[in-house]
Amino acid sequence: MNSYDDIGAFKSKIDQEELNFQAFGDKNIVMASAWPLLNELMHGAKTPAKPVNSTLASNPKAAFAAANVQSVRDISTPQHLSANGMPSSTEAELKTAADKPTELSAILKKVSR
Amino acid sequence: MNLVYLTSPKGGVGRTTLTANLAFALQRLGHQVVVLDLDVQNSLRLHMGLSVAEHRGVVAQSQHNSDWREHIIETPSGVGLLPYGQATKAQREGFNTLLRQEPDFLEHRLGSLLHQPGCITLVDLPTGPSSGLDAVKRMDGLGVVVLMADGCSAATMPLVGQDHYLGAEAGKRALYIINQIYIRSRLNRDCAEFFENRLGSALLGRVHRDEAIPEATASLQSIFEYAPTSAVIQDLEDIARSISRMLPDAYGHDSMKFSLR
Repeated sequence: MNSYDDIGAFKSKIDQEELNFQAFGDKNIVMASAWPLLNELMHGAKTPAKPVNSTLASNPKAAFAAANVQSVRDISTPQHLSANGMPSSTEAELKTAADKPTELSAILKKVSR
Repeated sequence: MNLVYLTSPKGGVGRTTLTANLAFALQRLGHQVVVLDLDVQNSLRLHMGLSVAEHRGVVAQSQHNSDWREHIIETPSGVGLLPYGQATKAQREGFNTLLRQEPDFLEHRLGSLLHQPGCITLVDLPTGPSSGLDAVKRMDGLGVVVLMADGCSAATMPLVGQDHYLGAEAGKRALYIINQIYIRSRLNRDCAEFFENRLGSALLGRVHRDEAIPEATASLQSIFEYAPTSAVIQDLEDIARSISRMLPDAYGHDSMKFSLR
């Protein structure tokens, strides 16, 4: 019975160039994930997925004045679902107090009808 | 005082995620919601859909005697956010000193926000005892302890009532949420039953595990936007309703009654 030559087989394998370790440091790898947060983390702060409402951020007093409750999203607005069943989060949907003054009581009266 | 603070004796239980999701749920009930991040990880901003590049926060400017309502960031969902922010070691230490040494530090900074009708402020605390926890304990807020249905969380329960943590008095008043219950796991089911027996009426609610929750965060959306049909939304809404009812100033507001009757 012929014994299997382990050492010989190993030597012949490591002589094959295709088994050399692959290093990707010299290659241009582009990551494109389905998850916006991962893309943002990978590509740094260049492409924020959802911009902050800069108007309100620069003028928070207006949005959060002590007297009036504002800027609650209009929950009576039906969500527009995309083909995959998920709501389309367009910027138009991101209604804020600056875009559309929405006093809390007014919204809630509208909903309660 | 419409203040709710979330704490956990054990890390990794999903407290920050839960804070964000409860904020969305309370907002859907009609409340104006502001979330305050007192955790150095500064990750609440990501759950609220802000950019990774957003470095503003309350710690860096804590030495200034300013009203924090001026620093509230309006997030895409409409929930107001006071992030921890990026801070140097000196700024963090100075912030912790203020929290420990000035008894009314938080109350002064948050001002009338805490008493604004219909408005609820949620505070996300770091794991375990912290200067932030000591500060919110002194305020007349609603303490919520977040646990997972596992042996380690069960083992950390006795810590909650200890003096260096919530203390006996706040520990008795505290409410509990069991987070990320996985009903196919026998251990999870048994632990959930253990908590129910042990906590009784102090158990505020339970939130089932749903892969859609981390997916929503990675998508920079709320769970209500990302998976509006998810069963976990029912869990969150039940808890939000309970919290709303426990805060007389928020619940008693005329404009709130429509959704809670």
